[in-house]
Amino acid sequence: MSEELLTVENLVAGYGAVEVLHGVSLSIRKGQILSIVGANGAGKSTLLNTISGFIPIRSGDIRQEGRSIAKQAPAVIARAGIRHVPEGRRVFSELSVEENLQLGGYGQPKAVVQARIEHIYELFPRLLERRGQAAGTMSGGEQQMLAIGRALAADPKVLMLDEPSMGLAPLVVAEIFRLICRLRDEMGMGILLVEQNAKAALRIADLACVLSLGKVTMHGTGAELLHNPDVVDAFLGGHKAA
Amino acid sequence: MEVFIQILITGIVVGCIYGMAALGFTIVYNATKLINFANGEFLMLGGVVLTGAVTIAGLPTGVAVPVAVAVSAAIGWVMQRVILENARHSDHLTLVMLTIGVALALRGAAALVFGRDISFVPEFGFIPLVLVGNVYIPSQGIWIMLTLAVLSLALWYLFSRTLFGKAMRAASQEPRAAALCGIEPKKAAVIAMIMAAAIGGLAGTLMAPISAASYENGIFLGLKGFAAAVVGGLGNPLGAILGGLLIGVIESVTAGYVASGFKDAIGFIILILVLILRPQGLAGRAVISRV
Ligand SMILES: Nc1ncnc2c1ncn2[C@@H]1O[C@H](COP(=O)(O)OP(=O)(O)OP(=O)(O)O)[C@@H](O)[C@H]1O
Ligand SMILES: [Mg+2]
Repeated sequence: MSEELLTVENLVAGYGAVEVLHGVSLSIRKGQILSIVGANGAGKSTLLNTISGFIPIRSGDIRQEGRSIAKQAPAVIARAGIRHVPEGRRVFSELSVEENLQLGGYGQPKAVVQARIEHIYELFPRLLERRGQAAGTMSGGEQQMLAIGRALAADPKVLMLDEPSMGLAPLVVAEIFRLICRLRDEMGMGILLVEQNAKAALRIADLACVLSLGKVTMHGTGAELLHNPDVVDAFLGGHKAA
Repeated sequence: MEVFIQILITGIVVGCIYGMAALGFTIVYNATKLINFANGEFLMLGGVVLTGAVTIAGLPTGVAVPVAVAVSAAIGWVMQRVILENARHSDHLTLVMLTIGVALALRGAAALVFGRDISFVPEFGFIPLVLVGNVYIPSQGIWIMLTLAVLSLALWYLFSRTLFGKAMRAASQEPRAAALCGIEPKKAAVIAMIMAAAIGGLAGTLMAPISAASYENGIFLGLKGFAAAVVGGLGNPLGAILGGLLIGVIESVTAGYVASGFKDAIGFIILILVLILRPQGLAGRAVISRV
């Protein structure tokens, strides 16, 4: 088995009086995509926000390569190489594309970051064309690419993506999913992919799980879940999960 | 005409001071979304520490000014680290009340340390006054205008040319996304407060020779700076400077042509008019509300 980059163990977290995650466990390995699918309100974003340090942990643990990061601040976790591309992209809209990418590598040597940015431009030629444009004026798909590029500028070990396909045209979605596979295959990143577009997410996943009402209710390889009748019923069948 | 130009120059000089006060509000607001009502006290501190250093300690102006700026900056640092940071989980109103508490404490401390008398310091000198016809620009006024010009350039450079300044802007626009980039919002907040305190302290030293330093000055300078920041469009540094200049000039024109007693009210009349007619401020962009 390859190296465990990130381990989540019996994680309990929530907001105020509401407990949202009731003991979630999972792990992400080098060069693997772990897809998490689940209905609206299942707690997917809450899980990523808790791993990123925005939501305090009530019990359980989060470890990066064996070391607990459960009580660290978000900026510290980000600098440790766990990068989260948040739901809704959250690009720095007044800054240019290139400035967004440079801030992705904030705190790291300038030359190293610039070299990574050149690489990001190879992955997303569209960003190169628009390097001087204010990020807020770009299309949704371009902003998603920028949000991913911004995370890549730090050369993360673990990349967490929250619904990268949301609101995007099918062709753009396909492009982004192809890119996610390249990041795994060429750069050996561990990827945690949260998606409502369950079919696409399971297809590229090495491992996958279903999160429902704050619990992991099913897990297996991507192919297993893709052909599991319960999953098909709940997420792949009709319009129920759309 | 000459009288008018003379009045204009007086207004611009005072407006530069208001602009610097407004910059303090703006920079802190951008970093933390907090209106720091202790901001005017930084100007007060600059003035009283400068006069204290010159008259009590006998320091030359060239040394006393940096000392006063440093004292003010240090107090900003302590205020952020010791008080606001520890209370950061309190609700917004509590934090604003805390800044008012700090303002009162600084006022009391200044009265205690430097006394309640208003005191004077000599002008900075060195730059000669300029006479054009019958219009004259006082030496200290030139110091003030030059300082604001240099300061504006420096801030422009910081926020639009350095990654550090861009990180501060990013942290103010999208604090969570900035944290996800490894930018510490706490650090940005401390640096913003230190900058505001240093700029305020500097403005306070600059005006001490022309309008006497007193422990009481903080309140009215703070209110004028706040009005200027809002008139210019809260959060916009250029707007803060323009708002300061506008209020300074209109005050001066009012004092010259209407009645000097009316001068202090006019700044707030402008503030109220702007809030009614153009709530995003004169230089602010239209606020697009998202549904
Ligand atoms: N800031 C918050 N305060 C209180 N409750 C919240 C907050 N954010 C989310 N919740 C609640 O937590 C639960 C899980 O929300 P979460 O956003 O994690 O779901 P999700 O799986 O990401 O859903 P979606 O697919 O719609 O993005 C929901 O019931 C939601 O109402
Ligand atoms: Mg979500």
